[in-house]
Amino acid sequence: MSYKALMIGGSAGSFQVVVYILSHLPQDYHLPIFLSLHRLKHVRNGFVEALSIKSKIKIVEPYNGELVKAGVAYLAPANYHMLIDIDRRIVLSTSSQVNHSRPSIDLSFQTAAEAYRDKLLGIILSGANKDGAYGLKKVLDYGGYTIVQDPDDSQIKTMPKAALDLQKPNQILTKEELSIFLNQLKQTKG
Amino acid sequence: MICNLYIKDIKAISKLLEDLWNIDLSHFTYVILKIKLEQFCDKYKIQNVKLLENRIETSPLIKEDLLIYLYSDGFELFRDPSFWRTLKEDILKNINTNLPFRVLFPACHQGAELLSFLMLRDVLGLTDKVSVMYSYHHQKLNQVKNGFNFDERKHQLNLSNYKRINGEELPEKYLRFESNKLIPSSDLFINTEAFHDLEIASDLNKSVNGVIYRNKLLNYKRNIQNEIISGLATKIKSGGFLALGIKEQILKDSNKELLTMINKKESIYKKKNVV
Repeated sequence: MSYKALMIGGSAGSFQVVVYILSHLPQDYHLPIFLSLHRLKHVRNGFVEALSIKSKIKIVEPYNGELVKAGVAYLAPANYHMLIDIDRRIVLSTSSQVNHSRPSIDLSFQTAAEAYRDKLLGIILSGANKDGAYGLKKVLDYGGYTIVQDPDDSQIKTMPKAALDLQKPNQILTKEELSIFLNQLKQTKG
Repeated sequence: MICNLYIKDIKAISKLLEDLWNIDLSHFTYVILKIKLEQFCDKYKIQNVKLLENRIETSPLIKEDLLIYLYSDGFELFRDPSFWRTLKEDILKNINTNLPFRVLFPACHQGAELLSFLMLRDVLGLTDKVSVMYSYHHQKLNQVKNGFNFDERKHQLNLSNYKRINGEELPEKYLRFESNKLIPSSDLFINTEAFHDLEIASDLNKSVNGVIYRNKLLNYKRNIQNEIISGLATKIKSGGFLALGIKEQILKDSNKELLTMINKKESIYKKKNVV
């Protein structure tokens, strides 16, 4: 299977994992990467910069309506939901919080699942609430590939466990295994 | 979500709403419409498109709530405090109070942005100097003056946002809660005028010094965004400003010729001098 997009959802305890994953991916990675991560709503600056320190991949907070490009990581802006429309443009929204969250990982996964169907790779990382579990199930329902960070490898287990309660993902991996998997994907499918 | 709507479902519901209530949803992007309708279904525990169609056809009272879901987003006062700080320091403090100054808020439904502005206007002592016009898309959505349901526990965020503007507390006199309703002081609405429009202020005859239209374009297709900006640009006086949401931008070149960006971080544009 050749994938067209990678979406990563995470909350508390996911930052170091995302940094680790991004730092091990090549600059010319063949997929667009969506990062739907819970963050402080009033802090607009600093997150992209912090993620970019070790990343070879360009990281941006998208403007509304941006067309998705491979090799770019799109970080959901603070206090906006990040949705993917069926024409594969990024649509931002200030609609009400979902699971007490904006950005909501569920909304990002749900909309990306419909836009990319079996071409989407979805990953849930560490986190302290259940946001993302339902969305990741939608990825699986649409034929996409799902991975959950091993709860024993997660700083906070709630989010991976909630995802595992709702579905049997294709894989359960540690952060090191995730990184290897994503790089092999590049080698195999790139 | 207990209800999953697909492309054919969205088309069916759009057609039904247009036939039944003359509501045109064609300007929404697909994904926005889908999310809004699914969230609406969740609230009413509607599990599929057939039940939604049935509910719309048999429960006229549902119309008001559906309109609110479609045209309102999350309510947050002083969202993006740095925008309000910029507006206060760079624009409002520099206006010539000897001349009329008019600000337009199109598509004002629950009116978080409008209320934020009205409070800031009063704090600056500009209530008599700065007139405000605001429009609503449907009479049912003209809630801002009479108050609307709002969870008081969420009000702390509004207060925190205000404090982030310049460290001061929001005066208590502006807002009160009654039976889970947030009710603004009627004094805030001095020197304001409400009118009905179709999002693009098409029936507005007076030109204005500024337009605040933040995070509304997010909901719409690109061609509609361009039309809205074109319409608003004609209403702004030379040298006047347009404030969009911080993640919104002007797309069309002909609109960029009318409006130049003066603050990228806060997405504020200035109307060029038109000869």
